[in-house]
Formats: sequence, structure tokens, C-alpha cells
Amino acid sequence: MKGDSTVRAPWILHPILWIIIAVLLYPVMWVVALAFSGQQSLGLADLPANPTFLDRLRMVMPWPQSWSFANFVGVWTEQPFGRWLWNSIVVAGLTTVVGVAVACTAGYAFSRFRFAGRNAGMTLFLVTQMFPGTLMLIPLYAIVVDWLHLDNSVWGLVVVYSVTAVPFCVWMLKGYFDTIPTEIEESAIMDGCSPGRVFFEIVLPLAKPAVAVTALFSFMTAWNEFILAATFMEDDTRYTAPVGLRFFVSEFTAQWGYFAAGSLMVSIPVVILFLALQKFLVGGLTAGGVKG
Amino acid sequence: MIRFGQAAQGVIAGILVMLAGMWFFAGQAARDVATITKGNEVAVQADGLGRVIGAARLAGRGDGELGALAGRYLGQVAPDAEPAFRIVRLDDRTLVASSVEADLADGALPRRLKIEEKPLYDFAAATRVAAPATGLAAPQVLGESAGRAAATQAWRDGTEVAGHVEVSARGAGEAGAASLMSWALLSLVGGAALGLLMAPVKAARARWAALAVVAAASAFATNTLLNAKAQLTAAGSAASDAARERVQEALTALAVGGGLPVELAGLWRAPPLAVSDDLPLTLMALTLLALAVTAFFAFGWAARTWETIKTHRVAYAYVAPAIGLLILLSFFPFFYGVILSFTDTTLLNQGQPLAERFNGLDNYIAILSDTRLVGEGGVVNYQNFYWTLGVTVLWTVTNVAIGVGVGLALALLLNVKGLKGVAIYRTLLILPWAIPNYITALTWKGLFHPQFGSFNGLIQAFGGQPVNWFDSFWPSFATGLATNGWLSFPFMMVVCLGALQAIDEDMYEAAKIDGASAWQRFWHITLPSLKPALLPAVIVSVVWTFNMFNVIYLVSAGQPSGATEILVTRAYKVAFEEYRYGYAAAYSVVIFLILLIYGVFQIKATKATEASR
Repeated sequence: MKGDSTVRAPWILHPILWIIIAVLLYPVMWVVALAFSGQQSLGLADLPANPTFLDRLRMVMPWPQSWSFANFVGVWTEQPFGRWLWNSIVVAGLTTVVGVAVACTAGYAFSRFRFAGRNAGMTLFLVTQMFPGTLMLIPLYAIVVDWLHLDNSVWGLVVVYSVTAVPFCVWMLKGYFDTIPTEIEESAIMDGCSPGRVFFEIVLPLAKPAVAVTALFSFMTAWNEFILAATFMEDDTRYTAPVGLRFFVSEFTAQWGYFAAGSLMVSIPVVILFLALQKFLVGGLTAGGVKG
Repeated sequence: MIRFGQAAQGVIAGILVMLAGMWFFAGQAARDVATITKGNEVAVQADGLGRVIGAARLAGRGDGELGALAGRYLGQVAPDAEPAFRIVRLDDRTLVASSVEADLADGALPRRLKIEEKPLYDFAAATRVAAPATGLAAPQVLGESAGRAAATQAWRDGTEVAGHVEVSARGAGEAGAASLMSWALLSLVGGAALGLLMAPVKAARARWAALAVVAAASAFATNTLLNAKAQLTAAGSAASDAARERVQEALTALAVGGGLPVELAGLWRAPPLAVSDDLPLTLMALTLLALAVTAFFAFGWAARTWETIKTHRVAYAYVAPAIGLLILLSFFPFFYGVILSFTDTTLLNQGQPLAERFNGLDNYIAILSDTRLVGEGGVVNYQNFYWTLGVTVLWTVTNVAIGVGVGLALALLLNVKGLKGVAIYRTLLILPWAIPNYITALTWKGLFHPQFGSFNGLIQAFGGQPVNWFDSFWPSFATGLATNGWLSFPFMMVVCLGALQAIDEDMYEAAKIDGASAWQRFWHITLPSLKPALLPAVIVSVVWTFNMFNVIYLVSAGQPSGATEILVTRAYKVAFEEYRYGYAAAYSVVIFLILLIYGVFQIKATKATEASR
């Protein structure tokens, strides 16, 4: 470590940072308070007829008037939220499986084999990243809904999400495979191991961290996607969690308590995953920009 | 066993290409002729029906009588085709009358439209949008779906466009394709027979002959096909005219004998049938393709390609699933979208043949040449492309500036030497990035609620007046800005913090000894060291922000009246709320081109900075 390690930061920084964090994380605290408030309205406390300064301040304080699990219970029992969450889990899970499977083999081929069309193929994956989502949406709607008749089906979303996630995964995995020395594979082939076994039994286990990151990325792509799901899934039993959460607070309903409780349940797993693996993602996301 | 010469392989392959192509295009041309003829037929019937219903309403007939009237009218104009009809009223979302079996099974008429019948409502709404101030526009051919051809026309209740009528009849099916193909088929089989004769001939002499055989067979088949198509078209035109004749008779009968003053003037006349004028061109291109395939085999290139694939077969097998998925769901939609952008495709006409919808550069001209930014009375036209572009640029620049500003400030705070608990602070501050962004957007929409939201609560607590966030441009824009700023600062903070921690402490020490002030150290050491990490982060975050659909769509939703819309949300609304698919596709292509120019510019700029380092 460089410099004088006994240097201490001025104490005043800590209260400053805590105030900043309290202000910045107000929306998060607000959602948590709302989720545990047991009621549906936006205000966290009722206003008396002639509200004073303190009454009004009480209304925006992220602290419920009474703590209750009613919203969590209600969202499962009175609303089809469990169904929506299950749809999301199925879609995101299948997307992860399809996306990672397809990306692993392609990434491996791009890393290990020299073949005609290799560079063109790799460029192909980069180019798709530039296609604008809205331009794709209309034809995708035609393909998935009109031709494949996959509207209101999880598979329609799965294939579309996989395609969204695959280019990043392919590049990420190719980069990681490049760092694995080829000697092990070569000696295995010398010993008469088939290319398939080399890939599945030697290379893939070595690439576990990269596979984990691409799996996370694919999962999050599917888990957090809203607009395609809203466009493709019209039947309310087929909603994914994002479409369902939006349904709670759309123009005609204002069930903010259900929204808050549902949001917590949807967010907590991905937030934990994200915090655990974010350092891998940051590098990957800016890598393309550095290369230009 | 006879070993096939390469020339013979070439002829067979070329003929097969020709055959497959002709089967496809001839079939399509025949289907197009039949579809358009059928479409014209139901269109003129729908036009008549719209007039009949309008006249009936003027004469004071009630909802209950309309169905019987429509049934009688259609029985008269098409006694053997048994067309079905629907009459929809927009204002109370009612299916007034119908003879479609599925509708009748769902309960007595008239009745409210059900949720599943939203497409009917959409059709009626789109028909109203397309209607002129008085009278009726041309009827809209819907194209064929599920084996039925359909067309719609508006109907007026007094002066108002009240809804739409739909006439549908059994579609034309596959009729005619076989007759188109029979002669063409014969000529191609002849060509193939000639090819077989070439099998034993040496490749060197035979390959040019192979090309000649394929060319001759193609030319003859093309000629046959085009003649047959001309006959089919003429027959189609005659059928369209006959259908109009019958409608006119029926309307006259109603007007004279039935006592209903039906407006006869301007009864729609189908334009002359001009289907797939590009068929000769298509066939010429097909011939060239067939020749290329012939050459590909005859000159031995096919054999060499096959060798390459065989040597690298493992690699290709590994790549194939990813590439296949990419081509089917990325490249194909992309090019399909680009093609759509040259058409006037809407919800109403999407069933029609592509050639019918083609409108060249009209969409692009409509988007780019409309410079009437300020309309009458100084009102800004928020639907104007340049307004939205300006908002998008402003949106991107301010957001990235806020993200970098807040992110850098927090990173500097966290980077203070000797600060304890950085990991906790960092984790807490990264939360906004980890939370799914649609949840953030919906949460902030709640916080900005004009009546019960926390922001107005706070403003009122301090004695201020509540702000109607979504009623004017700047507050509404600010809601999006606040939301997206909150979403994007953690990314910038993480990037800056990483770069700050990599700066060598000794540089600061040396600068201190040289008497540099804190500001000078920041400006000359910290900022330049941040640049290599920050620049790519800014570059990607510009693209993210430019395309940030969820925040605008979910928070301000473009309020007031589309003013705070950015390009991507506007394109979405044109497509899925106004149902103008062609226009929306062109809009999206323009967005793509803007990003492409940005990308090229960015690569050049990055290379320049790298070179100067």
C-alpha cells in the first residue's frame, strides 16, 4: 500500500456521506415503507383536516404508520402475482439456459478455431448491438406473433431475450476462453479425447466464472425486461412480473401497496446477484467502448 | 454408376433454383392477383354497405333493423359468395350487428365489445382517423386472414363518423398458380434433360454449354409465365368491374324501390389491376441467380466450398446455433424493418401484398421535410420530428452530465485517503443501478404524483404550492431527468472510483512539493487520469440514455401531449398506438442512422485520442 496508512479521513465526512445516502436512497426507503404499511395509497400517513408542517412531513417520512405484512399476503392471495412471478422465473430461467448454451459453443469456436468466416462472424455479433430496439420491435412482433404464433407464450419471449443477450455473452466468453492456456486441451486430444469431451469436460469447468457472469447477464436481461413483455403478452395470466407490477399502478388502478410489496420481491434476488457479481459486469460493459 | 460431371451438376442445380424460384414467385403473383381481385370485390361491397347504413340512420332506422338491411343488401350483391358483415359503433364500443358466426355464438346483438375483440375497436378507431371531413374515404382492404378476404368502410351517423362496417368473404385461395406454372415447368424440364446429356462430356468444354442451356430454358419459361399472368390480370380486372356493377344495381334498387336515399355518387371504383409489376424484374434476377448457381457448380467452386466446410465442420457446428438465432431474430427483423420503412403499412392494410403497400421514400420525406415546428397561434407542434430530436439531444446531454457530475463527486468523496467503511458506502450507493429500472421508473412516477406524491408533499410542508409535474414541459422533463439521473450515477461512480484508485499517490506528493494547489492537482492530475476510463463510459452511456425507453414511457409518458417524448418512445407510440407500422419503421431507421453516425464519429474520436497518447 502506498502513502501513509495511518492517515485518517476527517470525521465530518461520515455524517456527510450518511446524509447523502439518506437523500439518495429515499425512493428505496419509501418503497420499503409502503410495502410494509399494509395500505394501498401513495401517502404514508393520513393528513388531518388542517395539516401542520409536521403532519405534512410525517406523510413523506419513509416510515409506515403501522407495520403490517398485509401487502405481501394480499399480493399472493388476492392478486395473481405468484403466477406472474412464476412466468418471469420460467422465462428468465429458459433464457439463461438457451443463451448460455448457444453462447458457450460459439465463444469457444471463435476462441479456439481458425476458420473461414471467423472474423465476419464475430463482427456480426457486434453489429447487432447497434440495431435499435424500436426498429426490431415491429418485425419481431410480426415474426413472433403473426408467424410463429408465440404470443402469450413464454417461448416467444425466451427466443427474443436470448438473442438480445447472446452477443454480449459470446464476446465475454470468447475473451475468457482466450485466457485459458491451450496446452491442456492439446494433451487431452493427444490422449485420444474427442473435441466434444474436451469442450464439456475440460474447457467448460475451467471457464466457470465467465459462464456464471454470462448466466447472470442473460437472467437479468430477461428478468428486467418490460416493453417486449408488455407488447407480446396480452393475456393477464401470461404477464411477467414487470408487466404485472405496472398493471398495479396503471391509469385505472392505484394499488401502490401491492406494487411496493411486489417490487421488493422482484428486486431483492437480482440486487443480491448484482452486488455479488457487479465487478465482472463493469469491465465487460465498457470493454466494447475501449476497443472502439 | 454414372459419375455426374460438374457441368451436369451445374445445369441441374441451376434448373432447380429456377424451378423453386418460379414456383414461389408465380404462386405469389397468382395469389396476389386473386387476393386483390377478391379484396376489390369486398371493398366495393363494404363501400356500398357504409352508404346503406348511413342512409338508414338518416332515415331514422334503429340498431335492430340494420342487421337485416345489411343481410338483404349483401344477398343481392353477392348471392353465391355469401359474404359476412359486421357493424361496429365506436362511441359505446358496440357490435351493432354481425353475421359472423363467431360473433353470433357470443351472445345477442347489439352488445358491448369484449376485451378479446379489441382489434375490432382498433379497426373502427383507425377507420375514423382515416375518414375525411364529409363523405367517405376509399374503403380499406384488409387483406386475407384465416382464408377470408375482408374490407372496411366508415359509416356516418348524421354528420359524425360513427364506426365501421366490415365485409368479409371466403378468400381466393390458391387458384391460378397451377395454370401459371404448367408451361414454365415444361420448358424447365426440357432444360434439365439437356443437362443430363452433358453428364459424360468433359467439364472444360461443357461448362459454357451448361450456362447456355440454363439461360435458354429460363428465358423461355419466363416468357410463358408472363403471358399467363397477363391473362390472369385481365380476368381479375373484369371481375372487379362486375362486382361494382352489382353493388351499383343494388344501391339503385334501394334508393328507388326501397325508399332509402342512398348516396350513389362517388361509389368506389377499383384501380386497374397492376399486380407485381416487378415480376419481369424478379424473374430476370432469378435467372441471374440460377446462372450463378450453375457456374458455382460447373466451374468447381462448389466442390471447393464443400471441402472447406468439411475441414472446419466442428467449428461451424459450434457456431451454427448462435449465428442461426442471430440471423432469424436479429438480422432478418432488421432488414424486414428497413423494408417496412418504404411502405405505408398500417394495422388496416398489413394483410395486403407488399408491392401494394410500397410507397418509396414517402415516410422519410414526411418525417424529415416537416419543418413546421411552430403551428398556428405559436403552438409548438410536439409531434414534429425535429422537436423530438431536440428533446432527445437535450435529454441525453443533461443526463450524462448529471450522471458524470454526481458520480464523480461521490467517487471523490469515497476516495478520500483513510476513509473507513468505503465498502458499505459503495454498496449502498450502487443500489440504484442494481434495482430493475422499470421499478425505479414506476416508483418515481409515484413520488411525482401531483396529489399524493412525496415531492409535492415536501413542497407543501415548506409552504409551497404543489407542482403539476406533468402539465408543462420543463417540470415534466425534470421528472424524467431526476429518475434517469438517479439510475445512472452509480455506474459513473464505480468507473470514476476505479480510475481514482489506480492513480499513483506519488504524483500528488510530487505536485505538492512543487507547490501545486489542490485545484491544480485535481485539474492536472486527477482529471487527465480519469479520462481513459471515463471516456468509454460516457460513450456507452450516451447510447443508453438516447435509447432509455422505460423512464420516459413510464414516468412522464411524453406528457404534456407528447412534448417530452424522446425518439424511441415516439417511434413506439406511432407503431403501437397509432398503428402506423411503415411510418414507425422509417422513424426507427432514422434513429438508427443517427446512432450510426454517432458511432462512426465516436470511433474516429477514440482513435485520434489513442494516437495522441
